[in-house]
This record gives sequence, structure tokens and C-alpha cells, in this order.
Amino acid sequence: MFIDARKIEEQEFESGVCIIGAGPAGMILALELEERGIPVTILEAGGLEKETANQNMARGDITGRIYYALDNSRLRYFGGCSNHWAGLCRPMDAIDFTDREWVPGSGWPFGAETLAPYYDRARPYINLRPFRPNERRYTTFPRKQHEEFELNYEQYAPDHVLGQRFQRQFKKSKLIKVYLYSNLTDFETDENGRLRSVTARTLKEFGDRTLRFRAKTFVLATGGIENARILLLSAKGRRHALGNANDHVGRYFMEHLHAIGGILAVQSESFPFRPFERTDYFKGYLRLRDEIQRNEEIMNCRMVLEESQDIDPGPLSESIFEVAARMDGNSPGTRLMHVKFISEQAPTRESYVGLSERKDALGQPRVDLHWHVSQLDKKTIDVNLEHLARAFGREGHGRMQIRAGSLSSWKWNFLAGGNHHMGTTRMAATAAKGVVDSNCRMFDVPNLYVAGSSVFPNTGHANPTFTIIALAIRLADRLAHEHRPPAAGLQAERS
Amino acid sequence: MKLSRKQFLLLGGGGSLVLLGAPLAVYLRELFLDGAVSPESRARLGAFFQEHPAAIELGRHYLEENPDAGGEARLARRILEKLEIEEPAAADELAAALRRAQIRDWDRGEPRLVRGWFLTELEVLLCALASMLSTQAI
Repeated sequence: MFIDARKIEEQEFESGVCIIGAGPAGMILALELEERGIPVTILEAGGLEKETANQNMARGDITGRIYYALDNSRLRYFGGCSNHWAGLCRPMDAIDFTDREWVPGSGWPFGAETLAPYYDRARPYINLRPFRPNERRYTTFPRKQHEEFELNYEQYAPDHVLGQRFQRQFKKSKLIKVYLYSNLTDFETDENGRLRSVTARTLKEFGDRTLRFRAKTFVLATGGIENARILLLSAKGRRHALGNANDHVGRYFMEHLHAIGGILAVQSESFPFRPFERTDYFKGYLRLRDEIQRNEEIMNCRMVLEESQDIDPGPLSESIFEVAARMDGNSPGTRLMHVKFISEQAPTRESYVGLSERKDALGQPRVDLHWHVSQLDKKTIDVNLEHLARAFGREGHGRMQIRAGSLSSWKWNFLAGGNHHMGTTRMAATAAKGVVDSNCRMFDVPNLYVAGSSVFPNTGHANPTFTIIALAIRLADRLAHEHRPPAAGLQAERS
Repeated sequence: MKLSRKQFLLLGGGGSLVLLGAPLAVYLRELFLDGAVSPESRARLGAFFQEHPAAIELGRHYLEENPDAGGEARLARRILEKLEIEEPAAADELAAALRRAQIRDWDRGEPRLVRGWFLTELEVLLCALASMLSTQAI
């Protein structure tokens, strides 16, 4: 059920599990726990719709690389960022979980096989059917001729706006209580370092109420930027912020680097290519195979080819097409495509979420985002584009124009992110290397868990939400074990 | 000079030699054996390139962006080196050598970027030669 915190008289609440944030991670976690009969409280900072006063709370400073306005990049209402998610789904690749010696700080505490069953369980939540590609129908990319590339697919989830999809179910639920307009402002810990309660406040214009929530277990699920900010805010009155004994909270902020990397002029005659068309359900892409990534010491990246009528290849293009076609033994006749890449970033401490000196409407420091793109990030993109250009040239399929004129003199300022905020409370095997353990539990606060992409130690190229949902289901299994309802517990004991 | 379909097929079917044609074989053979190219051979190759303005245009851009690429003799010798043949012989052998050199370049060679276009060194050298010959009186 939904409870409007602006209108209630009580101030103290108690539950087994208290989730902060009703975005994809918090919602799916709650639904999974509900299914097991476990009562859940959710604190949601916004309402059921986008409202200016709440969005203003998401504003922040950009002190590093230029980035989107943070109150556009984040959505502070029921459903969270699923409200502007395009629905692209793809499990992370096996290599993304591994310790790659050329990527400092890489590796998850578990492998891809651990998450695989949770990806399967994630599908029904977004109505994502199992996908068996029929390449003859969807694309004619000659994969055998490009052995360094893997052709693969992303899927579009038909029902990805989770706030809409599950609003009725949450409204009817007897086990899930969603407190709307409740902004978390404080943590209370006991002498053992366990979290005893959290304090939430409504904005001044909404009555400036203060509510306190006690629980056995808390889960922070407010997004890749806000999770870090909330933890950093907890430093007030403490030696260091919760989870931050080793200065990892907020560090290693990562995005997926997005840009059009070039134009591909494909010889129509030699290359009966049908583009990786976007249907309502899937999209094809190319990725350099793992062994090439190892040899080149780069990270994971996918490239999408999109045919467009709006491409202007410049005045020299006709000559290029003519010469290239003749060199390759074809007749001139070209189709132009954009080469778009979506590339992984290396985790670095120089890329971080911190606290600004400016305050929000509740008097707390706003967020300061200091996004950084490293040399390894740039090398990854360069190498991918070069391999693609070579592959098409070698096979006589066409030529590629690299954007900005030269691999070595890229104007990197056109790189953008994808509103994918990741890595700021990273998962690690030990407290020395991260904030949460392999179960998403904070190393130094045993009853506080973190859900969402902030726990990703590495991101791969796949859009994060599908993995966020899979991880939330995995966390639900863990919490369900800790919070078995009494009846079920007794039954289990008897048996 | 334009190659007939029969000539083209004799050149190995690799359309690559449509650009170069037999004149290049003669031109390179003279360069290889005599160390110099006769005015007649140069004129024949230049005339051939005149019929392929795209190559001249591309070469012109390459030379603009790479003023140190060298003169005609140096370009021709670099092409010869890239072909990695014992001795330049018939045009069909040249066609095969050219295709091999092109693949080597795609696999391992340093890319050459002309106005951002990712091309092989062999491509741009040939076009640069075309451009250079096109500026001479034929």
C-alpha cells in the first residue's frame, strides 16, 4: 500500500526489512520478499509522479568532465530511473566478471555463472521473453568473415516502466508499505555498529515532518549516485561515513561511454548487409572477442551499425568510394552507416561522487559529481574502431571514416554517458577493496545492504538495469533466508 | 587507357588492377630493372590515371595532409617495396602481389587517415602517385 508521509500523524515505524528507494532495485526486491510473505517498508523520496520540488532535490554540481544535469539524469519518484529507461537488456559478459590484469581494480567476487539464474528470473518482471536469434531473418552480417568480432543481440523489454507496471500491485499489497515523500536524512547505529533506525523527512512545503523507521535489516537502493551521497552524509557525528573506513564510498564512479565513432561506407554489391535493425524487440551489435580484448589490453565495448539518410560523409567521400570499390574489386555503390559505440569504463578513484558545499532544501550537502575518462577508456574505443575499419577493408566490404579525423587526435569532449551511474559502493572480496561483500552487505554495517548499480565493481558494456534486477532477486534470496516468516520457520524446524 | 573486359579478367579478376592496369606493371618493371622510368611509360600511366579522377583527388588530399610523403620516385619505390615481389613481371602477377600487399596492410600495416577515412598505405601511395603524375604534362 502507499502511504503519503505528508498526511500521517505517527512518527515511529517498525518493520523487518526497510528499503530506501523505490526504483528498479528496491521495487523488485520488495516484490520478491512479498512473494515469500515477508513484510517490507519502502521509503520513497518522491511521489507517484514527477514533481518539481522533488526533482530539485536531485540537483548537484558537476566538477569533473561535463555531464548531464543531475536532476534530469535521475528521477526521484516511484519507479525511479525505470521511468526513463529505454528497456535495453543484455546480461553482462563472462569477461566482465573476471580479474583482468590490465584493468586495475577489475573483477567481481563471483563469476557470470553465479548471476545467470537470476537473469532468467529477472525476465518476467519486464516481460522479457527468452530470445533465440534467427540471424537469417534479422541480419546478414557475415560473422565467419569477421572472426575477431562476435555478433550478438540486446533485447528491448516491453514492460520496463516499472512504476506503472507494478503500481496496482504495490497499492493492493498488504505486506509492502511504501512511504511516499520520505527523504532519508540520518542513520542511527548501535554500539555494535548495526543500524538501529533511519530518519526520513518530508520537504518543508510538504509539512516538514520527521519519521523514524526501525528494522532488522535495511537496504539502500537509491541509485548509483544517491547511494554514495547518502552514505557520505552519514559522516556527520562519526569518525567516518558508514562504509567509508577505506575511502571507497563514492569512488570509482563509472558510466558507459556513448558516441558515434565514425561513418561506415559499405559496398552494396559485396556486402549484402542488412543493418542491425531495431525492432520492437531486439538490436544487434558487434563486440570484439575476449581473446582480442586480452591481446590488446582493452575493455569491453559494443558497436552498433545504424543506416541513416542524414549522414554527410564530406566532399572526399565519392573519391574514397570509387577508389575503395575498385581496389576491392567491386563496383562503386555505397550505403552509409553510423558506427555507434557503447564502451566500458575502467574503475578509477579519480572518478567520484562527493559532497558539494551547496545545500539542498533539507539543509544537506548536494552531490558533487566528478566524472573522469581515463586513457584506458580512450584506448578501448580507438582499438575497437580500428579493428572494425580493418575488418571491413580487409574483406572488401567498405571503408570507415573515424570521427574527428584521426585516432590519435580525437576530440574526446563529444563522449557522453548513458545516465548509467555505477560503481560508487563497489562490491569486493575484502573491506580493503570495497564497500559491500559478494552478498551486497556493507562490510562494516552488518545489517545494511546496498542494491543497485553502485555495487558494480566493473560494468561491461551492457545497460545496467537488467543486472540491477538480477542482483536484487539474488539479494532477496539472501534476505528471505534471514527473514523467514515465523510459520515457515516453525514448519521448517518441525520437518 | 582503358582495360577491356578480357584484359581485366586476365589480370586475375581482382578489380584492383582496374585502377592500376598494365601501365603500372611496365612502369614498375622499368623502375626495378633500369632504376628509372622512361617518359613514355610515365605518360601512359599518367594517361591511365587521368581516367580515374577519384584516385587523383584522393591522392591530392593525402599529399596535402602529408607533404613529406615524397616525390614520384620515392612513392614508386615505396609501392614496389610494399609489393614484396622478387621481380616485377607480368601484370597478372602484379595483380596478385597487389592484393596480397593490400591484405597485409589491412592486417598489420599502419593505417593512413585521409580526411578521417581509414585507408591502407598501399591505397594512398597509389593515389598519391596518380595525383603526382596527373600534375605533369603528358
